[in-house]
Amino acid sequence: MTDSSEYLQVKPEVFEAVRACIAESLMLEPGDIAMSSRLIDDLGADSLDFVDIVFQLERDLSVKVRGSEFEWLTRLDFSSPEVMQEGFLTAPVVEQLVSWLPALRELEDHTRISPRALFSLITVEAMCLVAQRRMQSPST
Amino acid sequence: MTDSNASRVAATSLEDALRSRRSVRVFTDQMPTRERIEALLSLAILAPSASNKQPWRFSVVRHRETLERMASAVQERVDFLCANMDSDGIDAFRTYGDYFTRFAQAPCVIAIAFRASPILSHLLTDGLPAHERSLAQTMEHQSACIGASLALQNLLLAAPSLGLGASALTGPLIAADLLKPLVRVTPSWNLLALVSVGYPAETPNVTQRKPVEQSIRWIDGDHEHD
Repeated sequence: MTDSSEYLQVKPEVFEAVRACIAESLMLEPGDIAMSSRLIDDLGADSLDFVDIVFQLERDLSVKVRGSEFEWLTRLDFSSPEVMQEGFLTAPVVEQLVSWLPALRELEDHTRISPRALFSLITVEAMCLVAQRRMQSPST
Repeated sequence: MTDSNASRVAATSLEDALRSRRSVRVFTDQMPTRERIEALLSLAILAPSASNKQPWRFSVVRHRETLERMASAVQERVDFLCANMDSDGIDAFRTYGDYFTRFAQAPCVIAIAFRASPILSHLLTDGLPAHERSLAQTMEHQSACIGASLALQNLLLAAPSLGLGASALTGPLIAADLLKPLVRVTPSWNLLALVSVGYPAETPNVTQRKPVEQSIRWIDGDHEHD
Protein backbone atom coordinates (compact mmCIF):
# COMPACT_ATOMS: atom_id res chain seq x y z
CA MET A 1 0.00 0.00 0.00
CA THR A 2 1.13 3.51 -0.72
CA ASP A 3 1.47 6.02 2.07
CA SER A 4 -1.75 7.92 2.55
CA SER A 5 -0.06 11.24 1.90
CA GLU A 6 0.71 10.23 -1.69
CA TYR A 7 -2.55 11.12 -3.40
CA LEU A 8 -2.40 10.51 -7.12
CA GLN A 9 -4.09 12.48 -9.83
CA VAL A 10 -5.95 10.21 -12.19
CA LYS A 11 -4.68 10.36 -15.73
CA PRO A 12 -7.38 11.04 -18.35
CA GLU A 13 -6.49 7.90 -20.30
CA VAL A 14 -6.88 5.78 -17.18
CA PHE A 15 -10.24 7.32 -16.46
CA GLU A 16 -11.37 6.67 -20.03
CA ALA A 17 -10.28 3.04 -19.83
CA VAL A 18 -11.94 2.47 -16.46
CA ARG A 19 -15.09 4.22 -17.58
CA ALA A 20 -15.22 2.07 -20.71
CA CYS A 21 -14.91 -1.11 -18.62
CA ILE A 22 -17.67 -0.03 -16.28
CA ALA A 23 -19.92 1.12 -19.11
CA GLU A 24 -19.50 -2.22 -20.86
CA SER A 25 -19.99 -4.34 -17.78
CA LEU A 26 -23.09 -2.49 -16.59
CA MET A 27 -24.35 -1.46 -20.06
CA LEU A 28 -24.36 2.20 -19.15
CA GLU A 29 -23.74 5.22 -21.29
CA PRO A 30 -20.15 6.38 -20.69
CA GLY A 31 -21.45 9.89 -20.22
CA ASP A 32 -23.44 8.72 -17.22
CA ILE A 33 -20.26 7.68 -15.42
CA ALA A 34 -18.38 10.39 -13.56
CA MET A 35 -15.16 10.21 -11.62
CA SER A 36 -17.13 10.64 -8.41
CA SER A 37 -19.80 8.04 -9.26
CA ARG A 38 -20.15 5.37 -6.61
CA LEU A 39 -20.23 1.92 -8.13
CA ILE A 40 -22.96 0.52 -5.94
CA ASP A 41 -25.09 3.49 -4.99
CA ASP A 42 -24.90 5.50 -8.21
CA LEU A 43 -24.24 2.95 -10.96
CA GLY A 44 -26.19 -0.02 -9.63
CA ALA A 45 -23.26 -2.43 -9.50
CA ASP A 46 -23.26 -5.43 -7.21
CA SER A 47 -20.37 -7.40 -5.76
CA LEU A 48 -20.13 -9.68 -8.80
CA ASP A 49 -20.08 -6.68 -11.11
CA PHE A 50 -17.23 -5.31 -9.05
CA VAL A 51 -15.21 -8.49 -9.55
CA ASP A 52 -16.07 -8.54 -13.24
CA ILE A 53 -14.94 -4.96 -13.69
CA VAL A 54 -11.68 -5.74 -11.92
CA PHE A 55 -11.06 -8.65 -14.31
CA GLN A 56 -11.86 -6.45 -17.28
CA LEU A 57 -9.44 -3.80 -16.08
CA GLU A 58 -6.72 -6.42 -15.83
CA ARG A 59 -7.33 -7.45 -19.40
CA ASP A 60 -7.84 -4.03 -20.97
CA LEU A 61 -5.03 -2.25 -19.13
CA SER A 62 -2.68 -5.23 -18.91
CA VAL A 63 -2.24 -4.73 -15.21
CA LYS A 64 -2.56 -7.08 -12.27
CA VAL A 65 -5.37 -5.59 -10.25
CA ARG A 66 -5.96 -8.78 -8.29
CA GLY A 67 -3.74 -8.93 -5.24
CA SER A 68 -4.11 -5.17 -4.98
CA GLU A 69 -6.07 -2.96 -2.64
CA PHE A 70 -9.26 -4.50 -3.95
CA GLU A 71 -8.28 -7.95 -2.82
CA TRP A 72 -7.08 -6.58 0.49
CA LEU A 73 -10.47 -4.96 0.90
CA THR A 74 -12.50 -8.02 -0.02
CA ARG A 75 -10.43 -10.18 2.32
CA LEU A 76 -10.77 -8.03 5.39
CA ASP A 77 -11.79 -10.14 8.38
CA PHE A 78 -14.61 -8.11 9.88
CA SER A 79 -14.75 -10.46 12.86
CA SER A 80 -11.21 -9.49 13.89
CA PRO A 81 -10.77 -6.84 16.62
CA GLU A 82 -7.87 -5.47 14.56
CA VAL A 83 -10.37 -4.64 11.80
CA MET A 84 -13.56 -3.86 13.67
CA GLN A 85 -14.32 -2.42 17.05
CA GLU A 86 -17.85 -1.74 18.27
CA GLY A 87 -19.20 -2.19 14.77
CA PHE A 88 -16.85 0.26 13.06
CA LEU A 89 -13.54 0.00 11.24
CA THR A 90 -10.45 0.58 13.32
CA ALA A 91 -8.16 3.54 12.72
CA PRO A 92 -5.33 1.47 11.14
CA VAL A 93 -7.75 -0.01 8.61
CA VAL A 94 -9.15 3.39 7.74
CA GLU A 95 -5.59 4.65 7.36
CA GLN A 96 -4.91 1.88 4.83
CA LEU A 97 -8.00 2.80 2.85
CA VAL A 98 -7.84 6.56 2.77
CA SER A 99 -5.12 6.75 0.12
CA TRP A 100 -7.23 5.13 -2.58
CA LEU A 101 -10.78 5.80 -1.47
CA PRO A 102 -11.28 9.50 -2.16
CA ALA A 103 -14.87 9.35 -0.93
CA LEU A 104 -13.54 8.30 2.45
CA ARG A 105 -11.49 11.48 2.74
CA GLU A 106 -14.67 13.50 2.44
CA LEU A 107 -16.18 11.94 5.54
CA GLU A 108 -15.74 14.05 8.63
CA ASP A 109 -15.88 11.22 11.14
CA HIS A 110 -13.48 8.38 10.35
CA THR A 111 -14.26 6.59 13.59
CA ARG A 112 -17.74 5.46 12.60
CA ILE A 113 -17.37 3.70 9.25
CA SER A 114 -19.28 0.44 8.96
CA PRO A 115 -18.38 -2.33 6.46
CA ARG A 116 -21.54 -1.58 4.51
CA ALA A 117 -20.64 2.08 4.24
CA LEU A 118 -17.13 1.10 3.20
CA PHE A 119 -18.21 -0.73 0.05
CA SER A 120 -20.50 2.11 -0.93
CA LEU A 121 -17.44 4.38 -0.88
CA ILE A 122 -15.87 2.65 -3.88
CA THR A 123 -15.98 5.22 -6.63
CA VAL A 124 -14.85 5.29 -10.23
CA GLU A 125 -11.94 7.40 -9.02
CA ALA A 126 -10.96 4.67 -6.57
CA MET A 127 -10.92 2.12 -9.38
CA CYS A 128 -8.79 4.50 -11.44
CA LEU A 129 -6.33 5.08 -8.62
CA VAL A 130 -5.75 1.38 -8.02
CA ALA A 131 -5.38 0.67 -11.75
CA GLN A 132 -3.01 3.61 -12.19
CA ARG A 133 -0.82 2.54 -9.30
CA ARG A 134 -0.62 -0.92 -10.74
CA MET A 135 0.38 0.49 -14.11
CA GLN A 136 3.13 2.53 -12.48
CA SER A 137 4.34 -0.15 -10.05
CA PRO A 138 3.14 -3.53 -11.30
CA SER A 139 4.95 -5.52 -8.64
CA THR A 140 3.81 -3.66 -5.53
CA MET B 1 -59.11 -15.18 4.07
CA THR B 2 -56.76 -17.82 5.47
CA ASP B 3 -53.24 -18.12 4.17
CA SER B 4 -54.05 -21.40 2.45
CA ASN B 5 -57.10 -19.88 0.75
CA ALA B 6 -55.04 -16.91 -0.33
CA SER B 7 -52.43 -19.24 -1.76
CA ARG B 8 -55.10 -21.14 -3.63
CA VAL B 9 -56.53 -17.95 -5.13
CA ALA B 10 -53.05 -16.83 -6.13
CA ALA B 11 -52.33 -20.21 -7.67
CA THR B 12 -55.61 -20.15 -9.58
CA SER B 13 -54.83 -16.66 -10.84
CA LEU B 14 -51.42 -17.81 -11.98
CA GLU B 15 -52.91 -20.77 -13.79
CA ASP B 16 -55.40 -18.42 -15.44
CA ALA B 17 -52.56 -16.16 -16.50
CA LEU B 18 -50.64 -19.10 -17.93
CA ARG B 19 -53.63 -20.52 -19.75
CA SER B 20 -54.92 -17.23 -21.11
CA ARG B 21 -51.59 -15.84 -22.34
CA ARG B 22 -51.53 -15.20 -26.07
CA SER B 23 -48.93 -13.86 -28.44
CA VAL B 24 -50.43 -10.57 -29.56
CA ARG B 25 -49.06 -9.27 -32.84
CA VAL B 26 -51.65 -6.71 -33.89
CA PHE B 27 -51.94 -3.52 -31.87
CA THR B 28 -53.88 -0.29 -31.79
CA ASP B 29 -52.00 2.91 -32.52
CA GLN B 30 -52.08 3.91 -28.88
CA MET B 31 -48.59 4.26 -27.47
CA PRO B 32 -48.05 2.74 -24.02
CA THR B 33 -46.83 5.40 -21.64
CA ARG B 34 -43.40 5.21 -20.04
CA GLU B 35 -45.14 4.64 -16.71
CA ARG B 36 -47.05 1.66 -18.13
CA ILE B 37 -43.89 0.14 -19.57
CA GLU B 38 -42.03 0.70 -16.32
CA ALA B 39 -44.84 -1.02 -14.46
CA LEU B 40 -44.53 -3.95 -16.84
CA LEU B 41 -40.76 -4.17 -16.46
CA SER B 42 -41.00 -3.83 -12.70
CA LEU B 43 -42.91 -7.11 -12.78
CA ALA B 44 -40.51 -8.65 -15.28
CA ILE B 45 -37.53 -8.09 -13.00
CA LEU B 46 -39.13 -10.07 -10.20
CA ALA B 47 -37.82 -13.13 -12.04
CA PRO B 48 -35.21 -15.27 -10.33
CA SER B 49 -31.63 -15.34 -11.61
CA ALA B 50 -28.46 -17.17 -10.67
CA SER B 51 -26.83 -15.50 -7.65
CA ASN B 52 -29.53 -12.86 -8.00
CA LYS B 53 -27.32 -11.43 -10.71
CA GLN B 54 -30.28 -9.91 -12.56
CA PRO B 55 -28.38 -10.23 -15.84
CA TRP B 56 -30.89 -8.30 -17.95
CA ARG B 57 -31.26 -4.92 -19.57
CA PHE B 58 -34.27 -3.61 -21.46
CA SER B 59 -34.05 -1.17 -24.34
CA VAL B 60 -37.50 0.27 -24.87
CA VAL B 61 -37.92 1.56 -28.41
CA ARG B 62 -40.90 3.84 -28.96
CA HIS B 63 -39.33 5.78 -31.82
CA ARG B 64 -40.89 4.99 -35.18
CA GLU B 65 -37.78 5.76 -37.23
CA THR B 66 -35.63 3.54 -35.03
CA LEU B 67 -38.12 0.70 -35.39
CA GLU B 68 -38.00 1.14 -39.15
CA ARG B 69 -34.21 1.11 -39.14
CA MET B 70 -34.33 -2.08 -37.10
CA ALA B 71 -36.74 -3.68 -39.55
CA SER B 72 -34.54 -2.61 -42.46
CA ALA B 73 -31.53 -4.21 -40.80
CA VAL B 74 -33.39 -7.47 -40.37
CA GLN B 75 -34.70 -7.33 -43.94
CA GLU B 76 -31.15 -6.74 -45.17
CA ARG B 77 -30.04 -9.91 -43.40
CA VAL B 78 -33.02 -11.90 -44.72
CA ASP B 79 -32.13 -10.79 -48.23
CA PHE B 80 -28.51 -11.74 -47.68
CA LEU B 81 -29.46 -15.19 -46.46
CA CYS B 82 -31.79 -15.66 -49.42
CA ALA B 83 -28.95 -14.79 -51.75
CA ASN B 84 -26.94 -17.56 -50.15
CA MET B 85 -29.63 -20.21 -50.13
CA ASP B 86 -30.56 -23.10 -52.39
CA SER B 87 -33.31 -21.99 -54.74
CA ASP B 88 -35.65 -24.64 -53.30
CA GLY B 89 -35.71 -22.92 -49.94
CA ILE B 90 -35.90 -19.28 -50.90
CA ASP B 91 -39.66 -18.96 -51.25
CA ALA B 92 -40.31 -20.78 -48.01
CA PHE B 93 -37.74 -18.73 -46.18
CA ARG B 94 -39.05 -15.47 -47.64
CA THR B 95 -42.50 -16.27 -46.27
CA TYR B 96 -41.01 -17.18 -42.90
CA GLY B 97 -38.64 -14.23 -42.96
CA ASP B 98 -41.49 -11.80 -43.53
CA TYR B 99 -42.47 -12.42 -39.92
CA PHE B 100 -39.06 -11.31 -38.77
CA THR B 101 -39.79 -7.65 -39.48
CA ARG B 102 -43.35 -7.42 -38.23
CA PHE B 103 -42.23 -6.09 -34.87
CA ALA B 104 -41.94 -2.73 -36.59
CA GLN B 105 -45.73 -2.51 -36.75
CA ALA B 106 -45.96 -2.43 -32.95
CA PRO B 107 -46.00 0.95 -31.24
CA CYS B 108 -43.33 -0.19 -28.82
CA VAL B 109 -40.60 -2.83 -28.94
CA ILE B 110 -38.56 -3.96 -25.98
CA ALA B 111 -35.16 -5.44 -26.76
CA ILE B 112 -34.02 -7.68 -23.94
CA ALA B 113 -30.29 -8.13 -23.48
CA PHE B 114 -28.31 -10.36 -21.17
CA ARG B 115 -24.68 -10.72 -20.26
CA ALA B 116 -22.81 -13.63 -18.76
CA SER B 117 -20.84 -12.97 -15.62
CA PRO B 118 -17.51 -14.51 -16.63
CA ILE B 119 -16.02 -14.69 -13.17
CA LEU B 120 -15.43 -18.44 -13.06
CA SER B 121 -13.81 -18.48 -16.50
CA HIS B 122 -11.57 -15.57 -15.55
CA LEU B 123 -10.24 -17.59 -12.64
CA LEU B 124 -9.33 -20.64 -14.73
CA THR B 125 -5.71 -21.16 -15.66
CA ASP B 126 -4.52 -21.01 -19.27
CA GLY B 127 -3.57 -24.67 -19.18
CA LEU B 128 -7.11 -25.90 -18.70
CA PRO B 129 -8.28 -28.08 -21.63
CA ALA B 130 -10.50 -26.15 -24.04
CA HIS B 131 -13.40 -28.52 -23.45
CA GLU B 132 -13.38 -27.85 -19.71
CA ARG B 133 -13.14 -24.11 -20.27
CA SER B 134 -15.98 -24.29 -22.73
CA LEU B 135 -18.21 -26.02 -20.18
CA ALA B 136 -17.62 -23.21 -17.69
CA GLN B 137 -18.28 -20.54 -20.32
CA THR B 138 -21.43 -22.29 -21.47
CA MET B 139 -22.69 -22.47 -17.90
CA GLU B 140 -22.05 -18.76 -17.43
CA HIS B 141 -23.76 -17.92 -20.70
CA GLN B 142 -26.77 -20.08 -20.00
CA SER B 143 -27.17 -18.83 -16.45
CA ALA B 144 -27.53 -15.31 -17.76
CA CYS B 145 -29.66 -16.35 -20.72
CA ILE B 146 -32.05 -18.26 -18.47
CA GLY B 147 -32.32 -15.39 -16.00
CA ALA B 148 -33.24 -12.98 -18.78
CA SER B 149 -35.62 -15.56 -20.27
CA LEU B 150 -37.45 -15.83 -16.97
CA ALA B 151 -37.81 -12.05 -16.95
CA LEU B 152 -39.20 -12.31 -20.48
CA GLN B 153 -41.74 -14.87 -19.33
CA ASN B 154 -42.78 -12.59 -16.47
CA LEU B 155 -43.21 -9.76 -18.95
CA LEU B 156 -45.40 -11.84 -21.24
CA LEU B 157 -47.56 -13.06 -18.38
CA ALA B 158 -47.87 -9.64 -16.76
CA ALA B 159 -48.76 -7.69 -19.90
CA PRO B 160 -52.53 -8.48 -19.87
CA SER B 161 -52.82 -7.36 -16.25
CA LEU B 162 -51.78 -3.91 -17.46
CA GLY B 163 -54.10 -4.00 -20.46
CA LEU B 164 -51.22 -4.70 -22.81
CA GLY B 165 -50.51 -7.40 -25.34
CA ALA B 166 -47.07 -8.71 -26.19
CA SER B 167 -45.23 -11.25 -28.27
CA ALA B 168 -41.61 -12.30 -28.19
CA LEU B 169 -39.59 -12.66 -31.37
CA THR B 170 -36.24 -14.31 -31.83
CA GLY B 171 -36.26 -14.36 -35.66
CA PRO B 172 -34.94 -10.78 -35.87
CA LEU B 173 -31.84 -11.94 -34.05
CA ILE B 174 -30.45 -13.14 -37.36
CA ALA B 175 -29.44 -9.48 -37.54
CA ALA B 176 -28.41 -9.17 -33.89
CA ASP B 177 -25.10 -7.59 -34.84
CA LEU B 178 -26.93 -4.85 -36.74
CA LEU B 179 -29.65 -4.43 -34.13
CA LYS B 180 -27.42 -4.06 -31.10
CA PRO B 181 -26.12 -0.58 -31.92
CA LEU B 182 -29.62 0.56 -32.83
CA VAL B 183 -30.96 -0.46 -29.42
CA ARG B 184 -27.74 0.68 -27.69
CA VAL B 185 -26.66 -2.74 -26.49
CA THR B 186 -22.92 -2.84 -25.90
CA PRO B 187 -20.69 -5.54 -27.44
CA SER B 188 -20.40 -8.00 -24.55
CA TRP B 189 -24.15 -8.08 -24.03
CA ASN B 190 -26.33 -10.45 -26.07
CA LEU B 191 -29.78 -9.88 -27.47
CA LEU B 192 -32.26 -12.38 -26.10
CA ALA B 193 -35.38 -11.34 -28.00
CA LEU B 194 -37.41 -8.45 -29.27
CA VAL B 195 -40.80 -8.07 -27.65
CA SER B 196 -43.60 -6.26 -29.43
CA VAL B 197 -45.76 -4.44 -26.91
CA GLY B 198 -48.93 -2.40 -27.26
CA TYR B 199 -52.65 -2.36 -26.73
CA PRO B 200 -54.16 -5.46 -28.39
CA ALA B 201 -56.19 -5.09 -31.56
CA GLU B 202 -56.75 -8.83 -31.84
CA THR B 203 -57.65 -11.78 -29.67
CA PRO B 204 -55.51 -14.64 -30.94
CA ASN B 205 -56.83 -18.17 -30.82
CA VAL B 206 -55.48 -20.75 -28.47
CA THR B 207 -52.49 -22.56 -29.89
CA GLN B 208 -52.37 -26.25 -29.21
CA ARG B 209 -49.81 -27.94 -27.05
CA LYS B 210 -48.54 -31.45 -27.48
CA PRO B 211 -49.61 -33.87 -24.76
CA VAL B 212 -47.39 -33.27 -21.78
CA GLU B 213 -46.40 -36.92 -21.54
CA GLN B 214 -44.60 -36.57 -24.88
CA SER B 215 -42.24 -34.09 -23.27
CA ILE B 216 -41.35 -36.07 -20.16
CA ARG B 217 -38.68 -38.63 -19.58
CA TRP B 218 -39.17 -40.21 -16.17
CA ILE B 219 -36.07 -41.36 -14.36
CA ASP B 220 -37.35 -43.18 -11.35
CA GLY B 221 -34.78 -45.92 -11.21
CA ASP B 222 -31.40 -47.08 -12.44
CA HIS B 223 -31.73 -47.37 -16.21
CA GLU B 224 -28.77 -49.75 -16.37
CA HIS B 225 -30.74 -52.31 -14.42
CA ASP B 226 -34.24 -51.84 -15.89
